[in-house]
Amino acid sequence: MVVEIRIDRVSKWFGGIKALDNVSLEVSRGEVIGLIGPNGSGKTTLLNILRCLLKPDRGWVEISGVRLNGMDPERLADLGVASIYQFPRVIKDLTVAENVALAVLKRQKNLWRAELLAIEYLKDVGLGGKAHMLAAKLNRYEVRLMELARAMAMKPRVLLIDELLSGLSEEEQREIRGLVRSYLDSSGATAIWVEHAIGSLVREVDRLVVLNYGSLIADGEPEKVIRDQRVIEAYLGSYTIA
Amino acid sequence: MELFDRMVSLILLPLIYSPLYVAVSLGFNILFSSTRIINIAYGDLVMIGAYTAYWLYAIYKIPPIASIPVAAVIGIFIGYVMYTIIYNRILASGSVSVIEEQSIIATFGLSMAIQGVVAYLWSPTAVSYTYLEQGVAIGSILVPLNVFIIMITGVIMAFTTYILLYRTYIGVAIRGIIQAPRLALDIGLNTSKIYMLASIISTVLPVVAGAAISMRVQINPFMGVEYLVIALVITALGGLGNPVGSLVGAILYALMDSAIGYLLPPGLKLFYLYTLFLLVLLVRPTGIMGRPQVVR
Ligand SMILES: Nc1ncnc2c1ncn2[C@@H]1O[C@H](COP(=O)(O)OP(=O)(O)O)[C@@H](O)[C@H]1O
Ligand SMILES: [Mg+2]
Repeated sequence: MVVEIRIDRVSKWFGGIKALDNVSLEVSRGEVIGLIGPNGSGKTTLLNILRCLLKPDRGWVEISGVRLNGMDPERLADLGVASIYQFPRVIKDLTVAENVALAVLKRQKNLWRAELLAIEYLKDVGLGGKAHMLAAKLNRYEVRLMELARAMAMKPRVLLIDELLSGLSEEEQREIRGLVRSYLDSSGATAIWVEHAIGSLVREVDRLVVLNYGSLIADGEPEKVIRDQRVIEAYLGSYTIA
Repeated sequence: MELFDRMVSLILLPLIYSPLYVAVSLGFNILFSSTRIINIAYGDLVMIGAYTAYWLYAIYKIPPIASIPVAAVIGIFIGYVMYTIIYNRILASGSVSVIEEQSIIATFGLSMAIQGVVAYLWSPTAVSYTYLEQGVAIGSILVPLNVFIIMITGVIMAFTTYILLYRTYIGVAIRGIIQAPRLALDIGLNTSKIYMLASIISTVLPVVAGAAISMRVQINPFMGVEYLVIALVITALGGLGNPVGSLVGAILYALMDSAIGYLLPPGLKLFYLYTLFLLVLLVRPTGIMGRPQVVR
């Protein structure tokens, strides 16, 4: 198996807070990893290190064999890495199609054609009808769908997803889970998918990894991991169980 | 007919000038909001355009209409040079406050240097020339023909800039960067190319505007400051990072400018303008049209 993402003994401090404590993780090409953990356990920090937005204080990270520590984040898209952030990143004054078109402009410089391409991706997530609306008009669910289409439009080899399901209804979560899963199946992309709730990714991912206070406390088959005593305690210790 | 004449001079004439103001403020607005670079030498670019048209006319008898394309080429060149020599170094810091600070310091020095060199080469004394001065009567008011050239130049510049911003990929990318600098990085847009284009837009517009306006103003090495303030006021009025705001801001500015001229004694124009600018910042810091929300 080819290792697509390699995280090796990574630690990260914010002042006195140790956000990540000696975390190691290897993700094979095409594998879909679920990363869960209570609030503040370091999930976003780990993704941001992979996005080159943060530099690890100790250890190193690698995607497709390329060392990332301190790399210019501008080069990440060339490596085939796409991100969906915990907090939506929408350009409200552009149309929905333009928001997605920006992601294909790298390979299609003609705005008109880029928009047509963008509309195809929007149709895939069921937003075809809203392509020409201003993005400011979308509700939270539609924004997340748009961001999914934008990530898909980049044809990523590696997809980093952060709390895509938070704040959505059961119905909406089910819909998005299905879309992401079928996209990952058909594209063969490698993914790290962060969610907060313990049960949210059991059926969607190949492997489930749990962070608690910056440490990796479990890594394995989803069904087993959610029954792991340490995982349950970590979630009980914090105030949320879902 | 008294009232009609007054309307012409107080409302119609200012409106004729407003497209040029739109263009002048767009250049400043686009550069600042996409890169956070504040170009204090912005007004001096208008001055350079004005001298270009003046010298081409005085020496070679080339009419200002023909020197406008020359001014555009000079503007492109200056934008390219400013980007490669100054801006890309400042932008490399990646920090908003550093970019704002360093760009003010660097372009303030540049402004002083440009004014000094121009004053030394061509003397600080104001010059002017006449071209298409003959008037068209609107009511009983004679409007010089050159005013219409200024208007058409402004309309063409503003229109082209809007097409560029709203209907080309690089324009959509610039608007994207204005609102989500980080996101642009994530999706792999070539930011340096986009910043260079923003720099070029921000020099072509004022240089060409200077060439056009030179038919109607006293040209001197220090005339630029008025246009810097105009760009600031209109941008503040219309909303930073909001290209449509520049349009609204310019019309408002032109009307207020004419009202100020009508109601208050002349000579303190810059003082009034700056007061207006401060008032806008105090009362409505995001401008009348609002500022796009920036996602970081
Ligand atoms: N930029 C930052 N500055 C200071 N502390 C931070 C920063 N980012 C995260 N932290 C802290 O690091 C810890 C992990 O945060 P984060 O990775 O966002 O957790 P999660 O995504 O799992 O909720 C938290 O205690 C958080 O307060
Ligand atoms: Mg998080």
